[in-house]
Amino acid sequence: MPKTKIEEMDRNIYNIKNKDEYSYKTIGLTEDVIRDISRRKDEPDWMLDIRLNALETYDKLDMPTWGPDLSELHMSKIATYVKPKSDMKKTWDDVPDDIKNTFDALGIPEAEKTSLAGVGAQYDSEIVYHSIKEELVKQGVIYTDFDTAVKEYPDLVREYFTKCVPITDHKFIALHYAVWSGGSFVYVPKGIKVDIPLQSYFRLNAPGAGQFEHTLIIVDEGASLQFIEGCSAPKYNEINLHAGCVELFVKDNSYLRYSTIENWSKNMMNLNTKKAIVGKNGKIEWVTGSFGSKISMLYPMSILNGENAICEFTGISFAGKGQDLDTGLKIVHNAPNTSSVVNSKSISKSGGACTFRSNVWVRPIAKDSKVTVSCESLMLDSESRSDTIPVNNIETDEVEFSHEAKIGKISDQAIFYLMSRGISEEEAKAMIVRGFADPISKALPVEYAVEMNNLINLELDGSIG
Amino acid sequence: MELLNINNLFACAGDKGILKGLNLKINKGEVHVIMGPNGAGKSTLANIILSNPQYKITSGDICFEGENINSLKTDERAKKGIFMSFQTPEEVPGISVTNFLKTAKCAKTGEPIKILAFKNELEENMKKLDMNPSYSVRDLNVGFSGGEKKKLEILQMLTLNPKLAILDETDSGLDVDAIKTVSKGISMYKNDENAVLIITHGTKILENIKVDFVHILVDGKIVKTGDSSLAEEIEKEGYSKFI
Amino acid sequence: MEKMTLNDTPVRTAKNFGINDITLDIEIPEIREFNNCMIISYESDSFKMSDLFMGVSKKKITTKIGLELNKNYGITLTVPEGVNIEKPIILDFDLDEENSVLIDNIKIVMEKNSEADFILKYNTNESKCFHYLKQETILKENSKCSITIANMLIQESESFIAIENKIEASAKLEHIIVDFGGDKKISNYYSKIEGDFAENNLKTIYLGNNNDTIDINYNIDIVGENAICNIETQGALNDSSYKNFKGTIDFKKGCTKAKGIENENCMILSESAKSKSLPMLLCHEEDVEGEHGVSSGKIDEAKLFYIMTKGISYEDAKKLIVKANFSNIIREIKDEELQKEIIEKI
Repeated sequence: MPKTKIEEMDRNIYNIKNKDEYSYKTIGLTEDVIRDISRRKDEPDWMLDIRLNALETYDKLDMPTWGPDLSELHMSKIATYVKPKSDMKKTWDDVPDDIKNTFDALGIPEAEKTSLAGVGAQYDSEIVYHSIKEELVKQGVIYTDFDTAVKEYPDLVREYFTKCVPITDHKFIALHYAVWSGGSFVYVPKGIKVDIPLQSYFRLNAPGAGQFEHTLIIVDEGASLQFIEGCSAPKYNEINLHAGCVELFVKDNSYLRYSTIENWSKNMMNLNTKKAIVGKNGKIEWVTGSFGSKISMLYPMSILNGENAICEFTGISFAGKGQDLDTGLKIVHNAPNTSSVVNSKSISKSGGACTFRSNVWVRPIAKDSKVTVSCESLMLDSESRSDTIPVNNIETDEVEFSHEAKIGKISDQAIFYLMSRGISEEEAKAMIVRGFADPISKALPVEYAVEMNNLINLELDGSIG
Repeated sequence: MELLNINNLFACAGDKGILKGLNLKINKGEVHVIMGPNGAGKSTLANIILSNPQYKITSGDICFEGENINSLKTDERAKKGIFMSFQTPEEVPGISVTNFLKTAKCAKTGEPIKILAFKNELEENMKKLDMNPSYSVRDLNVGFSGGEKKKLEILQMLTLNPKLAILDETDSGLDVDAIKTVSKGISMYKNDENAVLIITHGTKILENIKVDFVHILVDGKIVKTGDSSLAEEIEKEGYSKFI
Repeated sequence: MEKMTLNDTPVRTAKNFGINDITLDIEIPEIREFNNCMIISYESDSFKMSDLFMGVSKKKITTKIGLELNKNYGITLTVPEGVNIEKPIILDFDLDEENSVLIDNIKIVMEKNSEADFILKYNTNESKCFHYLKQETILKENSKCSITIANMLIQESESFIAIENKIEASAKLEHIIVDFGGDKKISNYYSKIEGDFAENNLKTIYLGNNNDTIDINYNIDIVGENAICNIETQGALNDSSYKNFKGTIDFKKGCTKAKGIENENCMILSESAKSKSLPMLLCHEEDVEGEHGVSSGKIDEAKLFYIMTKGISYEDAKKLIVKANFSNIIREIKDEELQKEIIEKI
């Protein structure tokens, strides 16, 4: 049998399990645990106050009454803080071998050499490696792990932390603020254009643990940035939890592209929160590929606060056996002449469930706004599920709004057409599925597009070639 | 040397019988033409030779190079060297023409593609078919006009170089110039080692091609076979005397 | 006044999206006898009327809206096997000061191979009314039926319309809902398309004025193979009116080759009108085709300009365009008189 030209990927690279070694670990969610984490991080009091306040909020808020079943999540069993056996290093050589090997296999140091302007690598609860190109530092760009930012740039952090995603948003964001650890902090000064992307990679190795990284990005007026977030974990039998938070400030006339390739293992509950506030003439672009996790609830939100602000969302979810991916987005048009374009796709296979859930809100002030939403769902068999649950809330007459959705299967005739050229049935199907995901691949840097195609091939049971 | 031999073939679409005892034999080096009124089963014949899942054989045999291919899947038949130019080619978003052709070529030869040579050959053929080279990076058939789609089918035929090419109404809906281009493509492809089966309503496409046999297909059976003069007769007088 | 939460969606989404249900202050009126119903048919021998109920029932009627009230009118209309009734059967309810509260339960049964059209009309001159309809339809194999429900009450009224259908193989049901009257217009539509090759079309036009609240909750479950359903909703919102549209097509496992299409178009005619929509597609079967489209926004400027160049005022031009958008649905009503009445109302 001829092989496809896409290079076969070793399925096991995501599944490298290192020994569960750590220098410190806390389990559960109590005031003592939180004080302990804060003390170990040697944090200022204001941060501890935020954590304690968040814990109080967490206890008050209810679990969501909608969406996937979260009953398997028991917070008292989750390791809320797992400090790896290594501190943050500035060179890969200083990172302990097994951790370094994991990131090597994931291709991070290699990508750093060829196509990134900076890299952050988190292992369990802490960043183990962080780097940024010297030129960017000279231009005043800050890219560091979040714990360092709290200490070195307290004014900036205090000005923005929790200002985009408030503690009270929902139960799991309160949880996040109570036990957050790790993550990246980026500041791009006015007018600076960072052409080469920065990437943070989040790896969760410890079984039964939670990862609660906080990413805060400020793209100041007239500046631009591309940021890539990757995540993965080896598979365990226990439930792991990811409740990260991403706060993005896209100031007037600035641009940010935030790309995510998420490949958590299938024992992960991914309850992540991402939000961007966009100023006048600013633009946020979300590019998301969701492949992993047992359960995902993820709805990146864009608040278009300035005139002419733009949001573009391009996303794909691929749910296989045992996966319930409830993903989508929220957009608030909160200024005149704002626009949003949403292109969402999903693929369900072998009993997997994909739900597209959205809320687009055009407020009375958002005169002359434009909204175009399109979602397409592909069902690969009848064991699977695909639901589309979009809420559209229009509060002004001066708006052009359209929403389209389609559900269906791969056309038999398209398969026949490809097969009539000598392509096998499996490969024909795979080609059509990759073609379906193509708009998302196109929006990713080449290396990541290749990775995404590989993930699609893996999800299709590696039946290709 | 015999390429295709269809023996007493009955086939249906759903519950509806369409081919009702069809016989057809094509040898290397020959050009066959099938004409017939709408609904006679012309396209069914082309599709059943490639095993389109919409149609089923109820009885009879299809043999290719002496081997019964009734149970072979579509891709296996294609790899044996049978090709069909579709009447309405499918649009497949996200797959570029070049990638598609590379995959198909590679599937057929079982060898890796020499990228540079492949690219040159493709560009050469596109030029000859009057196609804009920029079409090679476009998604397969997506946004192509009717004429461009048909030219792309011929381009695929030239690239894959099958033993038997079946052209299912490739000329329908084309303007005079495009028909000429398609006809030129057929001439480029045709040699003593392969064969062509042209399904058509008109004679325009046949002008520059040396036709060996013309068959009239009515109600699922071939009712008359003749030489190229039969096509001219049909063009003038229609099918009424065969129905 | 009682605070009530009504019209739950079949699948819930985040509470703060404010569309899972609607909470209203409702004053439940005193329910008395209702005496103003006329049934008009040219072929009254060809169908059966049974279970006629007048007076005030002890048992409450329940529907998917979630409102439980004692009924004061009820009837079952059965079209026997093989019977084809050409002229529509009209149920004309006249609400007035004496009869301002109507809680009716209308059941329509179409036996095998039967065919008929029905029109349920709710009128009033002056009085503020309270109307709660439960309409049930059963279509046996290969029957065909079109039902128009015209709510032409005055604006101060309150209107609750709940419809439940069961559709067997090869049967075809068409519902046309004209939802004009009432400052509260709450409607619920549930169909189960059980049979293979069965079809269900639902076409709605609604108007919102002043502070009207409109809550529409449609849900069609497709079970049968090769079944078809089509939801089309056209609306216009003026002043400070507020509308929720919730439409769900649920492709159940096994409904191979089924098709479901859902379209909602809402014209927003004023700055302070608000439109929410939740067009859900739920899918548990691979081999189906599902589509939905929603659009909202103001009236097409180019069209407005074109009409105004012919000397027509801005207000009239707006009305014309609303009428034009509604006309496709209105034209399908099997009674010309009612068509005219509806057009006039706009």
